[in-house]
Amino acid sequence: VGVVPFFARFLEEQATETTKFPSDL
Amino acid sequence: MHLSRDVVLLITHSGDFFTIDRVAEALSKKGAQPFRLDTDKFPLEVQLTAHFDNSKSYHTIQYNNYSISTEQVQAVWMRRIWEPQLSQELAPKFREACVRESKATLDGFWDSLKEARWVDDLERIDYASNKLRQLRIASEVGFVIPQTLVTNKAEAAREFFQQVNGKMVSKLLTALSRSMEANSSFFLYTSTVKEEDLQDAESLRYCPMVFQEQIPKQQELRVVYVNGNVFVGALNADVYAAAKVDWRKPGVEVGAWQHHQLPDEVVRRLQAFMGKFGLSFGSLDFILTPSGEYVFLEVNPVGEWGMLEKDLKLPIANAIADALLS
Repeated sequence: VGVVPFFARFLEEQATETTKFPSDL
Repeated sequence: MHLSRDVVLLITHSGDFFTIDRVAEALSKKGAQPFRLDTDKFPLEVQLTAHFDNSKSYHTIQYNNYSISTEQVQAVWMRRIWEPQLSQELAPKFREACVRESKATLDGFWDSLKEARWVDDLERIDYASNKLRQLRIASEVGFVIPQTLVTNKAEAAREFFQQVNGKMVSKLLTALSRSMEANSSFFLYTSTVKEEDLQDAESLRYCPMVFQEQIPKQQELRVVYVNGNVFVGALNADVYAAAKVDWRKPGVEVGAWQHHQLPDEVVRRLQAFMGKFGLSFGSLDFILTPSGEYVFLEVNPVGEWGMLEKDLKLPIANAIADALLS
């Protein structure tokens, strides 16, 4: 796999969680 | 069909909608002829021809049964540039070369339009896109900025964490491209850093990161600057701040956009800031703290604003059309 940089942990968190017109919603 | 009148070139991509349509509509109402160029459709659907000799040079471009030539273009809106989208039938070993040549050809086309008015000039956009340069200039014009550390040194990150009393967020300076083929880029959104995260901080040696103090929020502001005009949308942070630190994340319920009036002093600094970059357009993010302080976060020279036009009826497309025709 190779070693991963520090920011990779936050990408993983984002994936576990998060791929703006409220009126559309 | 060759367009006969003065043309405003809209540089965008095939997935764009709403904002591009609103600007095209505003230009048409003002008597100009918008020409939409979806950059990802070159070279498969957009045809470009350039002639050079000692007496002159000119380009023609043909797309969707319309064609224009360089000398017709009076203004250019630089909305977005996407990578050329090549079909699967192309032999993979030639793909990279085809993309590279296509991009170089488009660069030559942009160069042929240097006499036109650009919103904004590509070199200025590039210069303004560095977030660290933004922080320096924001501070120079008097904006409050978050305490910031950029480092690839683990110990520095740990010390900074203590310095900001454990209230720290992290971000990157650039977008991460997930899929060149699908032409979608994705981002590492602003993330909270916990103490246990820093146990692994030695891996900063492979890639630096930006760390900032976490600013307390009353409201998040999206400020859109167009040629001296300022449009503002505000989100109440209490709708989402308990769980999230970045309202831009997909899936984060942001509540309703609200109108907001910036203090005159902040507007003056904003105009000085944009003047330093020579930009006519910018989409800026600020935090309004509970104590009433406006904290500058960043500017995106090609940022989003459609939600403010749509929900708050702010006439941003009209202002962009005016800027292009001024």
